[in-house]
Amino acid sequence: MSEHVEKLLGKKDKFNAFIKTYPKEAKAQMGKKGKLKDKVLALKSCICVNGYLTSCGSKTLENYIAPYDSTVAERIKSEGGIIYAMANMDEFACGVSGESSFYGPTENPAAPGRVPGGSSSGSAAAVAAGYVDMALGSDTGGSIRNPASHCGVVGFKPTYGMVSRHGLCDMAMSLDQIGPIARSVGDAALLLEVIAGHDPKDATSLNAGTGFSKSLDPSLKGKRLGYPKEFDELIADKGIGEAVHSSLNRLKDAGAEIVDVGLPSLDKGIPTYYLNVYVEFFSATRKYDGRRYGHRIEEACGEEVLRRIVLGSYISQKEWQGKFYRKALQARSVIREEMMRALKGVDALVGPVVPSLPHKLDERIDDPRVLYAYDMFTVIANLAGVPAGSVPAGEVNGVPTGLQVIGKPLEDQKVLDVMAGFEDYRA
Amino acid sequence: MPDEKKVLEEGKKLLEEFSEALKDVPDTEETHYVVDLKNVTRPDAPGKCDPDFTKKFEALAPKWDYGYLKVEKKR
Repeated sequence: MSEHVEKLLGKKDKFNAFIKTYPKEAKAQMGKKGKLKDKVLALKSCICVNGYLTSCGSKTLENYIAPYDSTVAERIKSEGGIIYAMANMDEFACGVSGESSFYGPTENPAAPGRVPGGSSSGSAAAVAAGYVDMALGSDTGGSIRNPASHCGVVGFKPTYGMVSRHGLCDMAMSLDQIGPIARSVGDAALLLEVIAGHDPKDATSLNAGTGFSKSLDPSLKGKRLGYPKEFDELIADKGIGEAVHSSLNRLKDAGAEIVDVGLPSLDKGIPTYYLNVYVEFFSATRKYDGRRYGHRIEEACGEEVLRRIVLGSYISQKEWQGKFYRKALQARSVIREEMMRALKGVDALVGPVVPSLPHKLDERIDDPRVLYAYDMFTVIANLAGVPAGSVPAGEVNGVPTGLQVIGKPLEDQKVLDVMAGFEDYRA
Repeated sequence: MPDEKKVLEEGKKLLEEFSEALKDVPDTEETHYVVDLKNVTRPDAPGKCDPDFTKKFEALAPKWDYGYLKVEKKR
């Protein structure tokens, strides 16, 4: 057995990053040729892996052993990747902190005693703790970028349609994307290269996406990067504001030009996103009726999942659709148009990933508004369907925070290039 | 177990706040998906078949009878 793989498979999970590990199956996958040869991976527990527990972090699916591979799992295996673990996650991806899993909360390895962010909490924590080489998460409103930022690792949400969603237990179909989490932009690009590309099993899959790692160009010279001024008004933590502005200076030092742009409807992102999500999540969960597999979701889930189901059901009723759901669909058009305007004439936008640092694990937050606020800078990329990534931008009082890079649709390569340039540059 | 009625009543306040925040959004086209959705059909040929799929499906099913999944008619 490869020394590297043996070392990783023998590590004890101190942060509750995994729901279940598969050392025997991992050993059987070793030594296969491909771009991911002997790379050890964890997949978020909402991504089906044949024969593995795909619980979505919920009691609802506590006995659900996936009977087939998702397209991404199939592609990882065919390139020699070793799928070692199913990572912990917020229940049905309905969370921003990594605390709502039926299997218990995950701890942040980069800031012990604090939450790792979510909903791809275990994926980011496993990468940060060095338990795996790379991981997959899913991002509906920031669920890859938020934990990547909190845990000091790299996370990337591709353009909507770039990666097949076949075999992903959906949270909100029109917003979900699977993406990589890794310790370097190069590794994230490599994993994206393996999982991207057209899949006839997904009706929203695009015929795009090749060569991300080979084409990675970290040169920032002459790059025009937009900074929406509205970010400054909404950053809650002073330290994060300082880290972001210091990152802008670092980008300038590396040769990039920072340009002022506007996203006037940034503050409408949260209501727009959640009204969309409630309806789509309600629809997505109707299959969890306990008849063919699992338990009936309403009888097994936690409070946030139930909130999304009951509110989704409520606003799907004909009399409420116009006031809530249709208005949110219109607001989505407005935000998308503003995003395209802001991106016109620049290579990418840069800014914060989160407005505040991850809270402490014992700090119980019951008000959903406080938790939802973590998403305010990330949901806009999902609403517009554009690619966005988080790259470590330093620490605030010992707690990591990330820089977000957002690009035009299908310009995932350009976003990764800027992230790589930022990662590489040392003044 | 969270109380469904309580969650709904508290949630309605949240919905009103969201609605208020979006009241100035003009009537415009609605975005459901950012990509064009097409009807996709597979090539007219047999696909790959996992011979163990039925066994795996049976293992997940709450009730299995004479080779078929048995479900409650209504709950």
